[in-house]
Amino acid sequence: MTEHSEHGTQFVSKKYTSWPAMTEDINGGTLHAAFILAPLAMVMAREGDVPVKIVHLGHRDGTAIVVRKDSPYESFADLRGTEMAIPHRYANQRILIEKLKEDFGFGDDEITLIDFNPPEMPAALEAGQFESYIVGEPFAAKAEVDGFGRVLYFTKDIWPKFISCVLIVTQELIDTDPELVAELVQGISASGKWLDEGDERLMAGVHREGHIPVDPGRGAQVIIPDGFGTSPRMQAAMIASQRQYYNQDPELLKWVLSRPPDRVRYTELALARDEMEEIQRYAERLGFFSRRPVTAEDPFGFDDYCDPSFAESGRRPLPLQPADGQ
Amino acid sequence: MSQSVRLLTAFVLFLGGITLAHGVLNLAWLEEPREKLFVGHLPVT
Repeated sequence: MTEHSEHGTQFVSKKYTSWPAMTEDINGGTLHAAFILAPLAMVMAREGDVPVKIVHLGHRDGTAIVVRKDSPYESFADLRGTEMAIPHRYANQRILIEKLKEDFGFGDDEITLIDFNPPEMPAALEAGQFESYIVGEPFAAKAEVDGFGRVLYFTKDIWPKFISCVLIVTQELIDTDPELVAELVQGISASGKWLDEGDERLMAGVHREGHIPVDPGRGAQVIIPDGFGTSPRMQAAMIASQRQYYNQDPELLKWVLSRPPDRVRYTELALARDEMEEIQRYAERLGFFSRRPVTAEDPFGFDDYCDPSFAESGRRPLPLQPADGQ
Repeated sequence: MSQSVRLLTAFVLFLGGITLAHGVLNLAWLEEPREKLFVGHLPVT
């Protein structure tokens, strides 16, 4: 959101199509901040070429298990003997499936997990390449909106406050420009609070259709069509749909952010030690740190991969337009 | 003052002027108000 602000740093979205491409840029020293899968971030902090730290969460929940609408599956138990696509072997979605396997008494081989690129999951489900997939939005909603898929579980119902992606920054950036990291973290925190609890004032750069000022100012301009809605979530859907961000149909993002409203949440994004340690325990058990196992002689813990200080260091106001400026 | 000293003084003043002008311009560039940081993400939550 701060890209639309009048002052301060310009945080520029750099969109990737795969996790390896992103981790390659981080390890190559050309990318210093990214939203990335939580366990993958831990693996990078433990085994990567460039030291990184998790400094904030990106959101909570916002992941679902999807099956075909015409399939007979009503419970995870029904998926015994089937194939399921997961976004990455080091994803918290995989950890969730391992937890469900324990809860439902599955043996190791009773469901086959396949690494699959998230944007391709809906079409592959429709084509019958696997029976289900687990993914972050908007690729769960995509199957619903297109009419062939249905949600078997929202993560909010089976692992409340589920953590998928986290914000990592390189230790180099922390050391050279901690104020910049604080500005980014506090901007994300303030944006999340606005998304979940804000009023209908428009964000800077956002305009209602037919109410575009003669001199809209610098930066990207976003037009909200009549009837779309102007709540913070609807504004966010229009902003995120822009080509430089998600480049998705705004109606799909509107679905994600409203059906139901707690499908994905943007508050409580501070790093909680117990939650991260739970993910780490599963990551260790599943062998995520195979190149450098965690031992008593070579320990690894919350303080090695998390730095919660930036969220705690202050609050940042958002560039909202005055209510009478509509 | 000899002709050569006058020429040298003029050249030094010229160099000084160029350096000062560059300094002012550089300062102006440094004062560009906004820093830029790329933040990587996939189009997925």
